[in-house]
Amino acid sequence: MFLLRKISSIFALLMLFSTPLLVGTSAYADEKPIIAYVKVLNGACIAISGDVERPLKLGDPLYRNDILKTEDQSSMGVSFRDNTLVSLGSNSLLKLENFAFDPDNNKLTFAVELFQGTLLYISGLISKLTKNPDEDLRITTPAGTVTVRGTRLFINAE
Amino acid sequence: MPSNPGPSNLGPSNLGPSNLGPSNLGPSNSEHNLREAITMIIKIRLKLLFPLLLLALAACSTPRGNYVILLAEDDGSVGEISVTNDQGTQTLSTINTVVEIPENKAPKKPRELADDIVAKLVAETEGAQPPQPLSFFFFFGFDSDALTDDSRVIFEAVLAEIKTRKTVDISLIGHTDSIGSVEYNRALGLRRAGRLRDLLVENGVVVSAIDIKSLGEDDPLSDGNIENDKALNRRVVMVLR
Repeated sequence: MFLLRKISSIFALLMLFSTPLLVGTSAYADEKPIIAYVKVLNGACIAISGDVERPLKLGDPLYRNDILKTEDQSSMGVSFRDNTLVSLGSNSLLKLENFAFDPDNNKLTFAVELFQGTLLYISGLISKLTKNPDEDLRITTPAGTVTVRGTRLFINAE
Repeated sequence: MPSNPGPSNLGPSNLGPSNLGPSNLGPSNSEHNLREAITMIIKIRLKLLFPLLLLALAACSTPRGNYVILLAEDDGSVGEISVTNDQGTQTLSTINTVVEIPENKAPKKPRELADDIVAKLVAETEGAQPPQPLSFFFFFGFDSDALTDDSRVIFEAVLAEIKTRKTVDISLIGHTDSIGSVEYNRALGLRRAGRLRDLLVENGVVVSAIDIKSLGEDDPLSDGNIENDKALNRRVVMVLR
């Protein structure tokens, strides 16, 4: 009993300390959260966000709703914050529709849309942790929707 | 007959249906028949050839149009995927099987592909695949956010690895043993991850490239029945991408 009380008092004390830390982690919240990074880049690739096009460089951050575009003879590889790996072949168009990796609050979402081109996908932690893969993990293509239960796959879309 | 200049519509070479002038009825009729015969032959040939062509394509069995291939992971394991549209759904669970999705039709039944065909199809995207993320474990003392001595050594090694990479982003996930409340352990896990983040930033890693989270006591490495095992749960898992 004594131990329990001691633990709970320590707990209360430490909650006080940890609160500023929690606030600290959300200090970046007003910026757009980074969901992925460019890890491999061959040739000319851009990200389209609304009316803005940004030519991509190695290490560039990517955000929700970015549309990734590869030109002729270009390709790129992207790693998401949950370790999902996605690479695109030439003449591909992929929208990063939705991504949430927040196991603290059971928020796990991975949704991309391949309008055209080729995509190689390797699942990450979201696929491992989610309890509703059919809802949380989805790759949309012009011909249909692909739901994924932990794996590696290739898609061609025309 | 795309380019017939209007009035010269009466020349013998003209075969259109509007060609009813009596003067050229004779010769054009026989010519017309000849042409028709040739067209027929061509059409019949095409009719014969086309299925043959399709058969040939099916035989070499490279998928066309919209399709999805289930691949093995690096460790050889395989998961499961479903392909769904308004017309139907198909589920794949065997390595190197493909589902083709014809336009406005249900996904076809999965079929197996030869390894070399798969290799050829995925070659370009595989060449652009990012390196597999690396995981490292850092351990902490009881109720502490200070690294153990062993983990300090690991930290130095990881720093060396980071410096060899052109671009890194890092996830830190804090964990705890099951002593204390769930909420407390969530916070403790976050403190541990935060501590490691600070160490990385002190060593030159850009703070925006580090993401910290806590799973608290929810994802133990061991069930923690033995005191030594509990120590395994007091950890931060670093993922270096």
